[in-house]
Order: sequence, then structure tokens, then C-alpha cells
Amino acid sequence: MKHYDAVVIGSGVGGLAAGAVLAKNGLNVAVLEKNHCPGGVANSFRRGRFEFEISLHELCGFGPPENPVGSSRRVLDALGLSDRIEWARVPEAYRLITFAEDSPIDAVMPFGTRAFADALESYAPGSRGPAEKAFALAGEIRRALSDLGRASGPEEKRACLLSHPDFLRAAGLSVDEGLRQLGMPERGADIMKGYWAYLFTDCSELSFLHYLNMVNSYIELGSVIPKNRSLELTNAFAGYIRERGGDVLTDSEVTRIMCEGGAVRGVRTRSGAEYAADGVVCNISPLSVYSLLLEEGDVTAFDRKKTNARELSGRGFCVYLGLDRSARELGLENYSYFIYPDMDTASQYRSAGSTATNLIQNTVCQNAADEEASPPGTCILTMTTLFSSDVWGGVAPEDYHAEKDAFAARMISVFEKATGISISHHIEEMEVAAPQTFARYIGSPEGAIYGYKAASWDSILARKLMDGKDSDIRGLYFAGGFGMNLNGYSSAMSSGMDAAERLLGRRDAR
Amino acid sequence: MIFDTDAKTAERDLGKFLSLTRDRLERFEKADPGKPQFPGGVNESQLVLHPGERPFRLLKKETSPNGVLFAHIAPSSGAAPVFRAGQQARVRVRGVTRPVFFASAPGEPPCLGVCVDGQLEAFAFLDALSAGDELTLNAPVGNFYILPPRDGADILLLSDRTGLPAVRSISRAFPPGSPTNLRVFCAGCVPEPFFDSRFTAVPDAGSLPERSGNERVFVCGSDAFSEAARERYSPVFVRSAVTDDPKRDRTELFTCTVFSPEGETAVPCSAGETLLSSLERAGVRIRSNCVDGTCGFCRCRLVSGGVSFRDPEDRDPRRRADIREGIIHPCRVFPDSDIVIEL
Repeated sequence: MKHYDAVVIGSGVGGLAAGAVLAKNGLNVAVLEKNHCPGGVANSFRRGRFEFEISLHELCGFGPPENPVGSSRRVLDALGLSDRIEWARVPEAYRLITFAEDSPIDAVMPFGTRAFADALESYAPGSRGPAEKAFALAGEIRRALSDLGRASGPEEKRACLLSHPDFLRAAGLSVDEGLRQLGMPERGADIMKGYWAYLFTDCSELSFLHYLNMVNSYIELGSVIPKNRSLELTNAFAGYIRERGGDVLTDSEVTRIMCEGGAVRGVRTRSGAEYAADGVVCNISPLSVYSLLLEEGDVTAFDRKKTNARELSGRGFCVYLGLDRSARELGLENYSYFIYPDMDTASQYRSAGSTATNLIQNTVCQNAADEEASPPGTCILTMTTLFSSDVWGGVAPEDYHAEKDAFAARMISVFEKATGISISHHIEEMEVAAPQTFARYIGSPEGAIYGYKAASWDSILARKLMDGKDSDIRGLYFAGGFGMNLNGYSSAMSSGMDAAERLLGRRDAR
Repeated sequence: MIFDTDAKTAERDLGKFLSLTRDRLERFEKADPGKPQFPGGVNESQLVLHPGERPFRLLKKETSPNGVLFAHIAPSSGAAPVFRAGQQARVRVRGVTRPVFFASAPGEPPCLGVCVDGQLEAFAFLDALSAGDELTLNAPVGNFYILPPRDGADILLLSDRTGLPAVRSISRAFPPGSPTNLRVFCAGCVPEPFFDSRFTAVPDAGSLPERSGNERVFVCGSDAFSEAARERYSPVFVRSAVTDDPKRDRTELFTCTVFSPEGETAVPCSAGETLLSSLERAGVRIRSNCVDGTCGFCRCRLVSGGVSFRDPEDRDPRRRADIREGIIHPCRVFPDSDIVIEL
């Protein structure tokens, strides 16, 4: 049996980042991918003249080189990959449109904390002050987390926490409560909540700390996309691993994680190949690992209960459009459109449980960031929504295509009505991905693409404070969207680095 | 100071903070201790939609007036295949896999259709099969189908003899009276039993009709026929499904050295055939799916040597990031010299 120091299951961003950091530290590593191409949803596909990015809307946490504070830059800089990717800058933060309320919102929000606060003031007088406080709070949160990381022992931690009362307050608030306590006018709060679909927990429950951290990361540092799609990132990571003697094996679906004496021993693939390993990083859901990959006798009661307690976050539905006119000709001026009926996020989240009532979408025009994203005289528009239930599981196979097509048509219609931009007669290529598509391609439960829900009890802070170990099984770690850092490319990358460091820590300790 | 805090509120907030971990632990302790279950729903649904390779039985063969072989099939077990009209099934025989069109509409008893003469020699095996024989199929595959939100109501569907199976499937999936208005022109064909009032037989590609209004143009046929249709309606976009393997009028033989996780092999390859054809013929284990360049399943790295691409640069089916890495799709390249590839 071939032996590796570490095996990574799944070559999504989290897994590849983990593999790369492990290879950087001299470990002999194998990343095992079930599909024919690495990357998971960090990839693209071709239809006719167009290349469609599957999942990356924008990469946050990647500021200028002189300000390397963001998560994605931290990982890419550490691996020397930042300059190997051709980046395009996203031109503005977002355009938020609400279409089903008495005074609808249509706000274009810029990057830059000052510019953002100014814009917010222009749309919602009285918002500048609270916005500035919010960005200041984000800085304070970063400092508090850093100090907390350095404190050791309960007494030191307690003293540290009490010395950061604003952080302590923020840690216990939802987004709605937090913005209210900062004195944000309702309309300003509505506009500032524009990004909520990126986390897909409603703002009466979503951690203010988590949301603010994410928003600040976008507004302060801006965001980028790789011109050659996320496959460029995937190929860069995979190349890095191979250059250091590691293996990235495709068509290698892991079907069993083997354990002995409460520790991982290795993995087996569908074809029967077995690899011995001292550590295994899982870039797949813990649900998959504990229900499908481990022998029942190897899973402890606590790990069973922990898995059963978790709730899935959004199931993905995307419409990819290749249009036969340029963005300029069609009037597509913005990169990212957040379109919601209104900003009652609790109600919208509930409505997202049914195909009949789900009207939320985030729609991205690739060419607004990169003019050459598609041939001259064309452009790409990608529409994404999420479902808060397994509603697509109830669609019969014989009705699936018709339902998919109808829901996609409705998403297009909502976009046209909300923006006043006409696109339906200019669709040259179109592909639709329902939760079934994601379930097939990345094996995620219910086609969930955002990992576990950031429920109030399962917030990022609660996870980080508590998850000292990934599993009762020694040598088993998790990275990626279902990991500690929740969903998002930047989070997945840093979760991969963190998982690698935990594995290295255990190795050093032995 | 951002919030309005004091010593008392800080202690209260601290209490709330410390309860974060306590509450989470409590949730875990109270949760169902039973074995975690991987969900049904969507995950089971996708298995029905894409069951992977499975055995089918041939029930009956019949040959049409235009020499199309219709093979009526049934799954040896499990549900009937789910597909969109115009899609194909991948049929595997002797290491070579090729897509074969469904000639039936979705929901009808499944039937495949192919012209066994003058096309890919792999299809000759269908000719040799008898009722009761088993064949291995993987369905569905292909992007040649009507998608109403994209295509609207008016479709101009064109085919030569080899495209008749796809045409049969589509015309039956969108029957007269359905919201989709179909006009069908078949070149070089005599009328088939499934032709209806919407069909016109024309002598050749030179007799294709004017496009009416905003009709979307679909063409299924040989490479040459598809190219002729593209030129005929240029600059209007034409959606095409090609029924033959790309070939070149060259006969030189080269050697392709293949590096894979399994080791190193040397494979003879002809300058006149696609690299994929040569690799499959030699028994190399290489993934493939659509065989028209789009899916990228066969992607591999060209380490050295020269190749020609079947597709012009503006229709290169490879992903940009892959082009940068020297990745090729063997189903769409011809070798121009000895080459080395890495799977």
C-alpha cells in the first residue's frame, strides 16, 4: 500500500489549499478527487463561445500587496501564487435593488469605507455616522480576536475580553440588533444588509460579528476575480502540489476512511486502491464522512450527535447566460446585482424554501470586471439563488427539466423587471444548475453549496471558540465550506491552511 | 467606544459570550445519537437523472427507409432513462465509447437511432446485436436540445440522414400544437414514417430554406453538413450536433507516448484521426464523455510535439486556464508529429 504523510479528500479550494500548505512543509501529500478535473466548483465550463465560471462571484480578502491582511491574500502570498494569477478588479461593491416594497431601493455602493459611508448617507440620511462606527467596530473586532488568540488560560482570556467591551457586545448581537444599536436608520441598515445572501442566514439570526467582518473585508480591501476563471486558481494550487512531489489524483473517489485504535490509518477509493496515511483532511461534508466513509464502529457518540445537530445552509440554483450583445449595448453597467423583493430577510429566507415564492437573486455580469470575459459583442450574466429547504428533492424526475426551465425563466424575468434591462431575446447560450447538479458534481448533501447554516448557536465565533479538534478520530480534519470558517472562497482557503497547520501540529507533537 | 457600554453591561455581555460555547455543546449533547443519515431527496433524485453506466437489453431492431437503425431498448433494472429530446446515450463496446442519439421522446419507451453505414465504425456493433443482447449505456449526454427560455417558440430544425434520430426525438417531444413552433428540413432523405406536416425533404444542404423571423436554427448531421448550415445562416447563431468523428485527409503514423498514474505506454496514432480515437483503439484508459470538445472529460497535458486543432481559435472548446497549462482535448486534436501526453 502506498503511504502518504497526508491524504486530502476532495480538491475544492479548501482541500487544495490544505494540500499546498502541507506540501510546502515538506509532507508527502496526495489530493484525491472523484471527478476528472480538480477544483470542485472552483472551475468553469464551456458552452459555444462562452466560458462560464461555476461559482466564484468575487474573491474578498485580497487587497493590495502592501495591505496583506485578508484571508485569501494570506494564503496565496504564503504559497507565492498571488502573482501567478491574472486578476481583474471588481469595479464596485454592489447594486442593491428591492422591487416589492412601497419605496424600493436602487443603490450602487462603492468600495472604500469612506466612499461607502458617503454613498450610504446620500441614500439614507443619518447613516454616515453609524457606518463609520461599524467600520471602526470591524477594526476593533480584528484587534480583539488577535489579542484573544495570544491570551492563555481562563483568567487571561477573561481579562482580555473585558478589555474589549465593544467586541464583547458585538459578539452577542444579530445583524439587525447590531445595526439598531449603532443607531443606523432603517433604510441605511437595509442597504448595508445587501450582502446577506452571501451568508444566507437571515439578519435577525446572523452574527453581527461575522457579517461585519465580511462586509468590512469587501469594502476596505475591494474584491477581485481571476480573468481565467477559478480554474486558474485550481490549476495553480494543483501545480504547486505536484511541483513539490505531491499527487493530485483525479477519477479517485474515496469510499472509505480506514481507522485503527481511534486514529486514521488510510483511505480506499472506489476502484479499490488503498493509500496509507497518518492524517486525512476532508474537503467534503462531515455528514458525508460520518455517514458514508467511516465504519460505524469508528464513529464516537459525540461525533454522531454533533453531525446530527448541524443544519444545512443554502442549496444552490444557478442560471448561466451567454448573451449576444455587449454589456454596454444591453445597459448592464454594474458587476454585482443583489435583487430582493424587500429587506425583511427573515421573510425572504422563509420564502426561499419554495420554488413558488423564492424571488431572491445575486446576479453577476462578468464583463463589468473583465471586458474580455467573452468575445466582443457578447457578455456573460450569471444568476444565483439559494433554497432554504430540500424543495428540489420533491420534484419527480419526469418533471425536473420543465421545473428547472420554468424557475430559470422566472429568475430572468425578475432580473428584467427589477433592472429594466431586456435580455431574454439575446440569450445565445444558457445552462441551468439546480441543487441536483451540485449534488452530482460535488456530492454535497441536498446540493448545499454554503456548508452548514450560520445559525445563532452555530456561528463562526461559537465554532472557533469550541472546535479545538475537528473530530474524536485522531488525525482527521475538515477544510472547505463545511469547515469552521463557513462558506466562501477566502474562508475555504484559510480553512485549508488552518487544517494543514493543525495536522502539522499533531505531527510535530508526535 | 462604539457601543454604549459600562462595567455592568460588559459583565452581562461576557456572560452571553461565555454561553456561546456552552449553548453549542448543549445542542450537541441533546442531539440524536443515532447514525447520521445521508439525505435522500435531491441526492437520490440526481442518481435517477444520472445513474451512470448500466446495462440495457435490446428488445427489437428495425431499419428505416433512410437506413437509420432504430434500436428499441429497456433498462435491465431501474427506471427508464431521463433525458431531453436531442440528447444522447453513451454506448460502450470494445473499449470505445460513443454517443448515440435517443430517437424516442422523453417519456416514451426508449429507442436509440443511428446510421450504421458511413459513420463511426463503432456503431457497426449495433448492427451485429440481436434482440435479447445486452449493451452498456450511460445517459444522458449532450447539449443539443431545445431550451424554451433560451430559444423562444420558433425553431428551424435541419438534418441530413445521419441526424434523423435526433430529429425524431425532438419532433415527438414538441408535437404539432405544442407551444414550440417547429419547422423541419431533412436533406438527402426520403420521407420517414415519423415525418409529419411540419417536415420537408430537400435534396441537399444547398436547398436549405430562408430563416423565418427570429427562428433559432438547430442542425444535426455530418461535420460537412453542419459547416454548410453554419455558412448558410451566418452570422445568425446555429446550434449544431455533429454525427461523425472529425477526420483529416492524412495517413502518416506517429507515436504518442502516454504518461499516466499507471505508467508509460507508446501508442500508434494516425495523422488523419483524432488522438482520442487512437488512444481508445490502443486500449488506453482515458475518460471521455461528449466527444465534441465541450465537456473536458478527456483533458490531458500535451508535454511535447505538435498537434492541429479541429476547431478554429474562436471556437476553441478548451477553458482559458487550461490553454495556459498546455492542456488539450484529445477528441478535437490531430497529431502532427510524435507527441508526449500526460493523463
